[in-house]
Amino acid sequence: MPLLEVANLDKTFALGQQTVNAIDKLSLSIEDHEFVSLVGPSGCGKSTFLHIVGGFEAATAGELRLNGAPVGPPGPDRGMMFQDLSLFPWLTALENVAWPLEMKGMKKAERLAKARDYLDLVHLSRYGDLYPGQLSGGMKQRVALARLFALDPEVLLMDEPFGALDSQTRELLQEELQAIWRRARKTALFVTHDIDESIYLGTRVIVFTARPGRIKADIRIPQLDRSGDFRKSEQYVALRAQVWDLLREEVLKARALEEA
Amino acid sequence: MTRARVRILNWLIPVGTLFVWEVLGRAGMLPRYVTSPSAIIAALWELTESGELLLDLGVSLYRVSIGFAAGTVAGILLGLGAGLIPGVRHFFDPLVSFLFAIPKVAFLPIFLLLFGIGHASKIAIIAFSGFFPVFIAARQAVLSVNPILLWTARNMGAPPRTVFFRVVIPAAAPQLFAGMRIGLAQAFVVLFAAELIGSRAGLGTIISSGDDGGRFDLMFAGIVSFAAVGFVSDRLLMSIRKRALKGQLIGTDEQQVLQ
Repeated sequence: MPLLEVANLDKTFALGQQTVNAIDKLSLSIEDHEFVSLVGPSGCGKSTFLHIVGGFEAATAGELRLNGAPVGPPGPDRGMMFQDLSLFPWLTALENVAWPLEMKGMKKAERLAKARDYLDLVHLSRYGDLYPGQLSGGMKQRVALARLFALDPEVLLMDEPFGALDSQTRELLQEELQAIWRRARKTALFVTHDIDESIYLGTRVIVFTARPGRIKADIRIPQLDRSGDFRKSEQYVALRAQVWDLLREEVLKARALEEA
Repeated sequence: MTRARVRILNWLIPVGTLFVWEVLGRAGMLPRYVTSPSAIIAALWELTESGELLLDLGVSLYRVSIGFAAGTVAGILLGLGAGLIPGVRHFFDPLVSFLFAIPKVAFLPIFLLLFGIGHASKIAIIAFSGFFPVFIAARQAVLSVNPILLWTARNMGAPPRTVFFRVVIPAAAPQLFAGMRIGLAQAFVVLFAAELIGSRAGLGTIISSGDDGGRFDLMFAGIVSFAAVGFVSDRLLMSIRKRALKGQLIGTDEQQVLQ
């Protein structure tokens, strides 16, 4: 049985007088331990899809099952990570990471100790007492990542988590996430508009069409060695070209749609 | 400018002003109704010795603290309610717009009729005027909480109660304090007016009786006492705020100013 099963998912919403069809008959099944990158032109409904899986938005029609059971309101079985501004600014980094543990009913000493371990995982153990306002954008997202792993959900839902960072910081964080994920092997849905990121992190890349969002291509990424000169390897360059060609068509369509 | 220079200047201007004021006063170059600083201090001492100042201070503090507390509590509770519940919002919004612009002192005769000449009428009108800025701030604060924070909390399994107390309240806190600060200033304005018009005790009566009796030194002593109380309460509120908003003031200009 697949971990996550999506069948004929539709999402429409009202935009002024118009009805916009954001997602159209989306069907998809995701196995345990897959890291699925979702790429597509902006406005293709990939983030909306993630919000529906997270329970933050309702689908108009269709089915969504996690471990065979219909997906309900937001809950700790599906952990969401946002682009930014998701840390509680009135709590320190450590307290932020400890929050999901507190919600699980863990005692204070235990959850702080655990939160320290998770901060250590993202190399921030020295910064636990600082507030989010005192951290750089990259550090904030590392704290959010630590908090996501502290929540320990069945599926990681990541909505362009590195999208607001500069490119050097983004690459470092991709490497960190990759390393953590290799160990934890947690099923992940990762929305991005960055092709490199989608291939580097993913075991599978799904290309969305322009609105209404459908699946244009579903590409398996072979178990390549991500260390060293992976980004310069022939296989990587070929994959990148393949995804880019698919995406380019849709980006052009999306632009035509915007200009129409 | 260096910090040290700014600091010197911050002292130099008020001290210099007082000095010039005093010199002009002694030289007899000021009108009769502007008494010099030393005369004001003497008047303050006179009021302190007679015990009048302490009594009036007590009366004014009693009125303003209870009135402000009541207005703030009502403003926060109803404001949060209006932010959270559309029905409450739709009821209060037009009412608040209707009443907000009216100088609250205009209601004093009605409050005097309703609650009598004693403390109750003053406390009630202070609460009434302090209510509005706090209500408006609380209502707006709830509506402007970043939805991602709410989503994040729900995502981690927080029940609605927890989301309210652990996310909505702290996220709204900066705006609540901003509203309270305005409410506090308004509380003093209304206190003064209420004590001028219908009162036998309180700092306001020192000012009005000094003015009536041609004792301008006493009038100024009353004004100075008023200012001192206002200053201390505003600073007190701001220091509570600074503690309460630990992480949230980081990166704002104000944090540097406060340091």
